[in-house]
This record gives sequence, structure tokens and C-alpha cells, in this order.
Amino acid sequence: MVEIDDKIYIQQVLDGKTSSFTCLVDKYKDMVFTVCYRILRQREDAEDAAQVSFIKAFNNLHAFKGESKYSTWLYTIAYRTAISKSQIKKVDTVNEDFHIDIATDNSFPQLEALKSQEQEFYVKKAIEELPEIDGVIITLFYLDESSIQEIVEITGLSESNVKVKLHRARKQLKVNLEGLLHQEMKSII
Amino acid sequence: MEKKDKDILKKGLEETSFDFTAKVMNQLDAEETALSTILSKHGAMETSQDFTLQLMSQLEGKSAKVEYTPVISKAAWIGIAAMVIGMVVLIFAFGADGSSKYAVGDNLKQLSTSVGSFFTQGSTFMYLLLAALVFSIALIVEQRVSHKESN
Repeated sequence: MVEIDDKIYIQQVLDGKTSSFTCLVDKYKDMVFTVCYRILRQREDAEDAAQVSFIKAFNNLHAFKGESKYSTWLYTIAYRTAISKSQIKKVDTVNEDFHIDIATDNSFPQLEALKSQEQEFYVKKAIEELPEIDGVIITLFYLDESSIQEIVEITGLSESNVKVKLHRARKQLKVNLEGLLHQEMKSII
Repeated sequence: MEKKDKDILKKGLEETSFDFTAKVMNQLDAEETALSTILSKHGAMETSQDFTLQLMSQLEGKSAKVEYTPVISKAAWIGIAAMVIGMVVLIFAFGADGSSKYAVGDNLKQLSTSVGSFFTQGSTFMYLLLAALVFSIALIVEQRVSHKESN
């Protein structure tokens, strides 16, 4: 159903109804932005890259043959745009996006007692501690529920490489978010 | 002998409880589900509020509609048509023996004779044909160059 919707919007855009592209932007903007942010690690740069990605997608929409999902095609553009932007500009690794007044050291406290906003801070921090590409893989796998094959298509890495990176990133996240995981597991079991 | 030793040693293995594997798998599943829940709850980033607006303003006036332009332009077709008409007029005008005894508008019966004789007037026809070909090719090349430049 989701893919059918995308195809309808794509056809409308190709027929000259540019306003239909808004629906596609609204639907995928956060994920495209997240993918760019995982690579660039700066909000402004990531937003620029996300905009460039959508413009590239718009200009090349006629080249989208529908052999893969539109989202996979779009994230491939976003990933490559962010990678090339990061190669042009040396990324400042200092994170300026979080301004909430909580512990600023690198430790991960017991997260059971943390409030939602604080939990979010530590989850994002844990993802940021991963290598850039591992962060993208984790994002695609858990947030977008992309398959390994789709991640292979987006990143251009081999299947075994994606699996190794996913396993490694998962392991590191489990260590860093141990407290929060225990709390969540208690509610699951 | 060695095999027998191994079999004896195997008998000494302690056995786990019957639901051991299920417990391990449940634990692993729960960890995976918890990680998935936490990441999907807190891992996503959001764009600024005016992201779509900014983007769509950049796309204003643009269209993703593919405009197909013909390989041979309208001007080239007009040129080719003019050439063909010109040749037909010449055929009628010069006639079978090269004189202009046939007026334009003579009956079609004479056309085949005219065409046949025109072909026999080798040099005139060849020059005309060559000129027509060069003109058509020049028009097509010019059109393709200007098409590439516009892209």
C-alpha cells in the first residue's frame, strides 16, 4: 500500500504536478535527514545534504524505474550526498546540537531513572559513538526496518560487511545502553 | 579404542534443563526487541519545521516532467519537404529530354517518363541529390548540437 502511494505520487510529479512531491518529502524527510546526520554529525550540514538529496531525487525522478523501493533509491542518494559532503568538508566532531543540562561526560549512567528527554539524549549519544557508517546501518535496520539487502544497495557495501558492522554496532549499543535495555526488557518479559 | 573412550566421556556430560534453549533464545529475543523499541522511540532525528517549505520553494517553477524533443527539428522537416517539392517541380519542369516542354500540372502519366529521363541526366540529378543530402545532414547536425547545448 505504502509503495503504491509512492508510485502514485511519483507519477503525478512526472506528469508535471510538482506539488505532489510535497507528500514524498513529508513522508521521508526525517529518515533522509537522519541518514545524513549520522554521516555529517552537524545539524545544518545534514539539513543541507537532505535538501540537496531531495532536489537530486526530483531532478532524476524520471530515471527511477521502480525496480527497488522509492525509499531505498532515495536513501541511496542521501547516503552518497552526505558521504561526498563529508569528504569535502572536515567534520567538526564536537556536537553542538544538545543543549540540555545533564551530565556532559562520556559515561552512560544507569538509565532506568532517566526521563524521556534524557533517555533520548543518551540513545542519540550512543548512536553517535558508533562509526558513521555503522550509525547509518543501525538507523536503516532499526528505524526504517530496511532489510540487509536494501542496506547493501544503499551503502554499496558487501552483504557480509553489512552483517559484521550491524553485529558490532548492536553489541556496542547493548553495552552502552545496558541500563535502559534492562528496563525495557523487564516490561517485555 | 579411541572412539570407545570418547563415548564413555560423553556419558559424563551434565544435561541442561529441557527448556534451556528456549530460555536462551527468549533472552536474546527480548534483548533484540528492547533495543529495537528504544532505538525506534529515541533514535530518529527531525528536520526543522520549515524544511518542506524551503525545499518546495527551491523547486518552484521546476518540473520533473520529461519533455521529449524530436531528433529531427521542425525546421529540418520543412527543409527536407522543400527539397522534395523542389525536386518534383524540377522533374516536371525539365521533362524527359531536358527541355521545359512539360508545364507544371501535366498529367501524371508523363511523370514516370520524366522521372526516368531525369535519372538519365546523371550529372544534374546527382548534383541536386548531393545538395539535398548535404542540406538535410547540416540541418540535422545543427539541430542536435543546439539540443545538446540547451540541455
